[in-house]
Amino acid sequence: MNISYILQKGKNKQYKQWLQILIISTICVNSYASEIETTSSVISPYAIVSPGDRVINSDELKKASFTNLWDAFQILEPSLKDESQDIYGDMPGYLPSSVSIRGKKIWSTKIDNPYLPLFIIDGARVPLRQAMNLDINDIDKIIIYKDAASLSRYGIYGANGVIEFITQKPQTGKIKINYLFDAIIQNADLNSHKVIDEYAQKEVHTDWLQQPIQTAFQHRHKINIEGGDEYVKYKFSTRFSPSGNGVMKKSKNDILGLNSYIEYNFKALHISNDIVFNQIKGHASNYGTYDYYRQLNPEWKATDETGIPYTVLNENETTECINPVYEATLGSFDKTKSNEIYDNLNLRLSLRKGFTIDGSFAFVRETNQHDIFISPSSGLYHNVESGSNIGRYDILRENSLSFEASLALQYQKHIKKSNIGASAGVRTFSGKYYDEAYAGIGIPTDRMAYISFTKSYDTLNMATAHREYDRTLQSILSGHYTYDNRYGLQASINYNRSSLLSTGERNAWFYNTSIYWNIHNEAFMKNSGISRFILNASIGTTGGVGFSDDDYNVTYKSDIGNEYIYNYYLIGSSIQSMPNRNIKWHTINNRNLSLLFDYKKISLTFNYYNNLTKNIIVFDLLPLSTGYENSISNGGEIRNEGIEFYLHTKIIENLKGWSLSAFISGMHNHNKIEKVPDYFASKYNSTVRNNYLQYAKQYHRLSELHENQPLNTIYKYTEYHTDKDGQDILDGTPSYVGSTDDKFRGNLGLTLQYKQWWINTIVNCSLGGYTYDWFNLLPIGDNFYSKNNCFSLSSLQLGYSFTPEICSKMHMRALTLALSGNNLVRTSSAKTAKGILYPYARTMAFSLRVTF
Amino acid sequence: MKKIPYILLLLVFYSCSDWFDIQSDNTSVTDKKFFKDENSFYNALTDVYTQLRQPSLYGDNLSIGMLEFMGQNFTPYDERTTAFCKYDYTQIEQAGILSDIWREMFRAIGSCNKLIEEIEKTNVIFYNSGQKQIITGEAYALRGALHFELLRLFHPNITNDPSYRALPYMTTFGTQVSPSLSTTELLSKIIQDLKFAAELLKPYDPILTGISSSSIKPGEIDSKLRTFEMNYYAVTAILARISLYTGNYADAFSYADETFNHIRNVESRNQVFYYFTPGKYGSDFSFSREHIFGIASPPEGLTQLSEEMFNEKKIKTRTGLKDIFPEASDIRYRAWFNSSGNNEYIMSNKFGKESLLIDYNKTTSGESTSLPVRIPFIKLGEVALIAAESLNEQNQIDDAAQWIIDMETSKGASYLTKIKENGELNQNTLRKIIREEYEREFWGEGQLFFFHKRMNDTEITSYDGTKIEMSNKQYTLPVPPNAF
Repeated sequence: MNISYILQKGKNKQYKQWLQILIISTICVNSYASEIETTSSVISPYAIVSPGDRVINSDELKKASFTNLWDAFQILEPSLKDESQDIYGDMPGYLPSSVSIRGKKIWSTKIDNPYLPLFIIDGARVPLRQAMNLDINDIDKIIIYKDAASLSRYGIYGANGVIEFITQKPQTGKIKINYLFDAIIQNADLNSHKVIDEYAQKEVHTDWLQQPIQTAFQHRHKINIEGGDEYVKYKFSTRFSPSGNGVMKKSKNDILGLNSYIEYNFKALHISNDIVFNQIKGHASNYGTYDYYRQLNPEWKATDETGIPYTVLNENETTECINPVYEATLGSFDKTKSNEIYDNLNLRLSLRKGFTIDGSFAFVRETNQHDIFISPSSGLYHNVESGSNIGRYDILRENSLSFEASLALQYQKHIKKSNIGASAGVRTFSGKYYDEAYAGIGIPTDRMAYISFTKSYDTLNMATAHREYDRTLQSILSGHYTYDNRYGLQASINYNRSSLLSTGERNAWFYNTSIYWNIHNEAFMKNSGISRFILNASIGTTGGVGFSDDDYNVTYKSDIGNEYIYNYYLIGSSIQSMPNRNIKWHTINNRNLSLLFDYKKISLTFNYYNNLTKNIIVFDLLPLSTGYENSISNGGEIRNEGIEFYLHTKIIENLKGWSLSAFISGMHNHNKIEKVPDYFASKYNSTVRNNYLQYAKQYHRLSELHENQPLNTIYKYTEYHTDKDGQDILDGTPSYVGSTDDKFRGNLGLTLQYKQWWINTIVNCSLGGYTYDWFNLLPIGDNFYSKNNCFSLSSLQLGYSFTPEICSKMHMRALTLALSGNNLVRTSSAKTAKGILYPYARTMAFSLRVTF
Repeated sequence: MKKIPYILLLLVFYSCSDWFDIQSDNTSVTDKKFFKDENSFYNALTDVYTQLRQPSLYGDNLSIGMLEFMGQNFTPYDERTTAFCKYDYTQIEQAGILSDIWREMFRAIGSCNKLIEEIEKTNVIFYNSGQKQIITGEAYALRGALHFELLRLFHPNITNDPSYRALPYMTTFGTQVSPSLSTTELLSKIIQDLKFAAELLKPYDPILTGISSSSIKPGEIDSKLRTFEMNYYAVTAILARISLYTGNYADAFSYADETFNHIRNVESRNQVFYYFTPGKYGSDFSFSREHIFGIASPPEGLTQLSEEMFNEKKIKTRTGLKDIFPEASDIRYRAWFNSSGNNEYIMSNKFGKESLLIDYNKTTSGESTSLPVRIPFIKLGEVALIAAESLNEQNQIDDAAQWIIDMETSKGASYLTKIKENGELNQNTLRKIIREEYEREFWGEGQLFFFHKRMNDTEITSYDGTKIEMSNKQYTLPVPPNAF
């Protein structure tokens, strides 16, 4: 790749010229990408990359994995941490619930709140599931916005970081047909799993840990048809993976996807439209969750002599329990069906005198149907006397719908050595999310597995439903000035008004400013061999909303079940809490310093950041005379400080057909609670102590808040007691053990090429963190945690690309074959199982990429 | 050209302020959505009554619990109750109870304030005539009455220190706390609210005409159940209580006398409160028909607490119960207590599980279901005693005596009758009889402590017969630390 190409782009006014330096620098960061696609499609005016951001392009991505986007992502980007995957392992259709970028920015006052970055596809916000279901082969590049300058553009959505996926756009030329095929074999990585200690010595009749396990075979097909001329370009693709099996029996996640992209260019006008439809059918294993198997006694037999499974194990004993082998023979199921629709319309009009107008409109819809059926023959009902209420059917529905529109006007001008740019943009988002869940009980047989056959509603569990809205207007003004391609200054303000914000504080302002110095363009750097040397410093704010509308409104709830007069329908409606009309969003003050350095074949990016979150949600003590003990308020502070480096080098370049390149990257983050008000800390920490064990059973560890300690700290206690309601409560002053955040996370990759062959490997490591022993619930003593130094051979690939001559003989334009393995080796110093509910898998894939 | 976005921006700001006001739907609704029909106001009011019956308030502490131990009626059985018998408010647990009382009372007051604020600005049409005035009146009355209850607890007797400042008078819902006021200032605000409530209630409250036979739809005020709510006569009775507290005997008598208008003016079959007489109470051992206003309690409320205290823990009454009830024919003695031998008594019946409220609540088929016992807030006996005391203090001794004789007769007792027959009736004997009646009438209702406090008794007899010196220190509960 070369810089002149980009400069030429700038002259075409396809990119905003005033940003050329920044764009150049980011592309240079990833100069080990072999080639930049020659697309001329509209880039969202918001997809502006700053030096502190990370861009991963498709070639890098493919070095990490051919088949799994989320895996590839985690392998390549050290600043990203998925905290929930150790619990869910490689469950088909896995959706992360706790993902942090450059450390966790806030605590949550609601225990089960997910912590996720904002996901964007080509400028349009999408729900998590839609981002996770993207096909890795569709990705042109992924941008992880981390720089202060980038994040401030996202205003109240930027707090947890932003991940944008840019999809591949068609190239001009004759019609081109791609066929992509993957055959995948997965086997479960059970190294960390063992039965509980007391069973270790027992005679083995049944190896329970193997019962639900299978070797999974998947095959995926994809066809792309693309082409076009200077006026019209098109791309149609179909994705079909009919057997997304997982390593637990009968678990799967099948995807059918359709995609149509059309682009029209005429003079100054540019229009494109992208429609995606995906249908995903998932099925959880009917062997239940994997954590159940470790506690089954190996002396027990699953079946009798004739091979018929027992209804329950160890019948009539106190340890009687469900026989998963029997359950798997029944008609019970747990399945999901999702439909996703995504439409993104973009428009660009290049006017005279340096003005450009960009507009976009996106519509994103997702429906998710989740049905759970428990057969009336289930062992769960083994001891139920009357038979009329057995069997159960659960209906869970989730829907989201969003419209997003934006309009931006840009202006740029060169005056002698100066380059001036300005832009103003408005973006509105209107989203609705709603879900319902209810259940029926009393189903006579497995063949009547639908809620219409149930006898009655489940009267013990009320139906639940939610409707949530997000209506937000963001408007951004930004300006930019460079002098002689050496010094640059840019600044922007972002005004947000949103239904998520409280009535008293509904207008949120964010700003950023950055300066940079292109040292390599200075006269004294000429002929130094340094092709790039950029210093960039940026500061800016971004935010997040950590409360809901009932925190700032007086809300009433019907006190059903507490009728005022016994047996007489007269019920009260009570005020839920003392609201705070002026509750504010939390603000993150980001500071970022980047150094970009290219010398000969070495390319280095180094980032230092220091991000302080302010106004985190706390509870303030209220005067008793208000009638309430406390009210929601702002007051906590957390700092994340760290460094990141990305080093890439071409060790050998085309020496007798050999090439060798390597990369290494890593990061260190230090997370620290700077301020937690005393009253809130004592309230929060006592809740932690009261609920710790209850949540630990669900593999969710609560952690106390103490100033100067990290958010994810493991605390050790000395004793506990059981209160009169049977709740276990931790006592004593907790002592600091360590943090679950690792001190260093990094990767190392090597690519060796010889003629048409290539071999490529990536290893990952994370060092210095601790982990809980998920099965050792009590945080007392020293057995419930261990050091968690992890090492994994995350990617190993062997590939062969046929030469164009051979291809043309076969009437093809290109043909590539690859054999790849992912996560073949995972080692860890942790003394705990990983993949608690569903094991991790080792993946082997054979991939075929052919272009006609 | 450059101005277009600005113009657009401005347009968007000015036209879309409502667009951002959308609320999520969950298990609760915002006040804006909630107060959309007349039922919602009634529900918000009902919630206040439901709050009052929680154990930290009238479900325990302010009825049968804390206040009765402070009134020395029951023998303490653990550290907490012993501390209250000794008026020791310093222990953490006691302090916690006092904080709870303070906070929960103000929470109920806050709910009234929110309701008043909403109902006074609402443009919802109320289809049931007078319902709006009744709900508003009840909210005002509750606000006044609850402030008075706090005043009796946390301020010293008005005669000792009328300028003592502790309580705020809260009239808004929110995080802002009004300043502390003196006893006199508070009383004037309390009386003002209660008088306003009486004005609102008088034209509409069905209690003035008694039970009406028409059927009731949910959301309408049920005339049969008016004594479960702050009705017009409850307001006059409380005004009588307050007037007596301030030493305004003339007002005290006229309010007390007005309260009895219900019995005088309403046909007996339509009366909602009246004296029970011997043989008429059936299994209604707490004599609920004498409550002018009582707080409903579920079976797991007062009934269960009474069972725990008196059937399981066997908490004894103070020594010398027989001296308090010298006449065995007194139905209060017969209906409320059981002897546990050895001259010891247990109040196992009054609020026990056998004690039921009958005929309040009829189903559509006309059958009545019995309700569990309710918590008396103010009752006829107190009003009669107020009338008697205020007449007696105004030297109308014979009239005063008649009020007590009427009351005693309904209880099958003749303490004052005998004194009168013996020709010993004078202002002092009447005062003594009134004091004795306070000791007899309010078992388990938390009123005796307030009587001692009002009378400024410097010495009272404790549960075990010994004497306890009393002063402001014992009578005045300390203000919890983070009240403001």
